[in-house]
Amino acid sequence: MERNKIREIAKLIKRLIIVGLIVLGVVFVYRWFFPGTNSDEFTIEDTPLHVEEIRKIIQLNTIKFRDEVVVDSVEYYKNVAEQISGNINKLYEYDQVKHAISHSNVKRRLTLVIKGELLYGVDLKRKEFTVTPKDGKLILRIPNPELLSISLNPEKTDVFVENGIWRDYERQALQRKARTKMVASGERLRLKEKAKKPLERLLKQLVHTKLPIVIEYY
Amino acid sequence: MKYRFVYWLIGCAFVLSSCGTDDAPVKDEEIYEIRTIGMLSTSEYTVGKIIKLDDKGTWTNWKWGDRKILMSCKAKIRAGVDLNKVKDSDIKVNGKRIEIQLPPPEIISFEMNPDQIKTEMVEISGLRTNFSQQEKNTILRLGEKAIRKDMQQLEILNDAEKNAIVFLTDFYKALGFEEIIIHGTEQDKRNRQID
Repeated sequence: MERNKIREIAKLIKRLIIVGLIVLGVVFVYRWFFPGTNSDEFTIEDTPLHVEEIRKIIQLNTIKFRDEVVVDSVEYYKNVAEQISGNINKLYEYDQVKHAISHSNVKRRLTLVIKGELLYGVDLKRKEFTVTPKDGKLILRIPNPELLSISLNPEKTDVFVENGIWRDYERQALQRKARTKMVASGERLRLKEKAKKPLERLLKQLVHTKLPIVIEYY
Repeated sequence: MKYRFVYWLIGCAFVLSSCGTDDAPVKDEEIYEIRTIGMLSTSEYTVGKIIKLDDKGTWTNWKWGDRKILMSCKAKIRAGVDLNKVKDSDIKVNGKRIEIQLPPPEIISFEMNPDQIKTEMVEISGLRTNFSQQEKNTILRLGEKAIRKDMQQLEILNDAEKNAIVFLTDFYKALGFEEIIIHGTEQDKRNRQID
């Protein structure tokens, strides 16, 4: 009678252990396939900021152009055999598992969504700026507006798709592509030309004179 | 029973295959904004920072092993004054004398050139995977945030105001004014917020 009881208890313990192992296994498999992003938990160490250069500049910025571009780099598998072996290899990487279970023949893909800010205006330090009274007029000679700054910062960069392993130089090449696209948009929208009107308005606001003002670009 | 299992497997395969990446090409959509401004940029600082991250793994969070990364980056910060904020009442002209009240200096642009960002060192141990580009971007975002915070200790706004006063003094001298008085803004009235 007592032996039966002991046997039943042992059976119960065995079953509980099996259930526990199954639960642990399910959690492990879930974590393996859905590792989640741990990047939000990153904390960087406090390191000093080094001032490398201080420069005196004189720039009149009159147009701020904010652009958002999508840049993409894709590589495809050459054949089905390569696709199968490539997808199997992706199973070994936590982050790549979701790309391994796919009918798509994309071998690698990196898609970035980048927001940039371009400033147009005139650089009065590099190029001469003169004010000359002539024939009852005030002649301001200023250089033609140009693109003075392009800001593409990590804060405004989103890695939208990252399938496969990507190196830093490849990401940088995409960022350069984004920069080129933004500059091209600025050219197409004729922003250098559009920077002239607010520049003239600004100079006229600053110059307090009764003489008519003539602005010449060179 | 046997068929039900086969159907279940086919169903699973179909569902999982639809989870994969999309191979559609990216469309060139244009989203932009053009804003007219009137900024006089007068000071430019180039700063450098080493971004250090020690991503220690623990058994409890299923990260078995450690990861370390060192990245170096540079940022170019420009500051100046917004001349559009100069109102008519801020400029007083009396013959050959001109008196101007300048608006507070502010940060005009912040550039972190991607070409000047370098991964100096990476160390991976245990079962950890290498840093993905997404993770590196997150780390760089933290670096950018740290630079923007540290920037507030720099003298850039004071330099920008001083340089703006020098430029405007020369500018009004060239226009024929003999007495030029330019007032800056008190430090406590400055906007410490960075764009």
